[in-house]
Amino acid sequence: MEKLNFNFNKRVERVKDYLSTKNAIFINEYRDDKTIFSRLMYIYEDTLININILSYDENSLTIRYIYNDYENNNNHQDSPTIEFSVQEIPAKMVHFERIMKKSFNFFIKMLKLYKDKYIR
Amino acid sequence: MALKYDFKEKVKELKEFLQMRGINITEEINNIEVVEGYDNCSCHLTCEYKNKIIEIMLTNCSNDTLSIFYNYWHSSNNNNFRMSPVVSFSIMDLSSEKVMFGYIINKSFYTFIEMLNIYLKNYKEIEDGEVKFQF
Repeated sequence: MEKLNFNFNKRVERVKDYLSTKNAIFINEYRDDKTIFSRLMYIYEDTLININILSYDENSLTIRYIYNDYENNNNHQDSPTIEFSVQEIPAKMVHFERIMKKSFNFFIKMLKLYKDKYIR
Repeated sequence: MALKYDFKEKVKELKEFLQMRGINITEEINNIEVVEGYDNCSCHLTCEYKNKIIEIMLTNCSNDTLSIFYNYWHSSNNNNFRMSPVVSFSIMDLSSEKVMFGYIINKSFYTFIEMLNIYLKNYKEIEDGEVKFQF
């Protein structure tokens, strides 16, 4: 395990705390401590989304929001995926929290645009 | 397994679509090979859209379908290698049939551009080294 200058678990918990305020329903978490990786699965407004959090280096993290149409509609043909990620977010909690919230809300905007405009 | 369609022809159709919309292709990297009996094809296009660099990658998915990936890397556009956002949109398993391929390319490209426009509209630069992200 890479030596980090921050508490990775606390950052993951902060993401969970924030999503609970957004009425997102927690489904499960896959955690790999060896590679310092957490994948959170949530239902947000009837949509299944994944949030991957991983260390970028000893002082920063990457967060990635993913929507897979095939997971939501069991449709594998012409299947869209939307991703928004921010790499190398400073681990300092005040920065991390701010970017995490902003990036989540931007991802939701992308998702809404997709639902409104991308007619299959 | 050999592809049931001509991958180069699909690349040509994609490039024609982009060029007809005034999108400048600045770099093209093609990779066509056979790995363990399976065709493995990809085309990576670096494009300029309204002075923004976007990356488009076309690959084979199955022997009769393709996948397309659109990416905008903030770091490629602003030389900011700290905290780089990436906007991505992709379609997996899209039909190689010409009409359906063209239809999905058109629809997916404009969906990606709209996502990108929302991002660009909301993003603000970092000032004096201080974190000032605005989405």
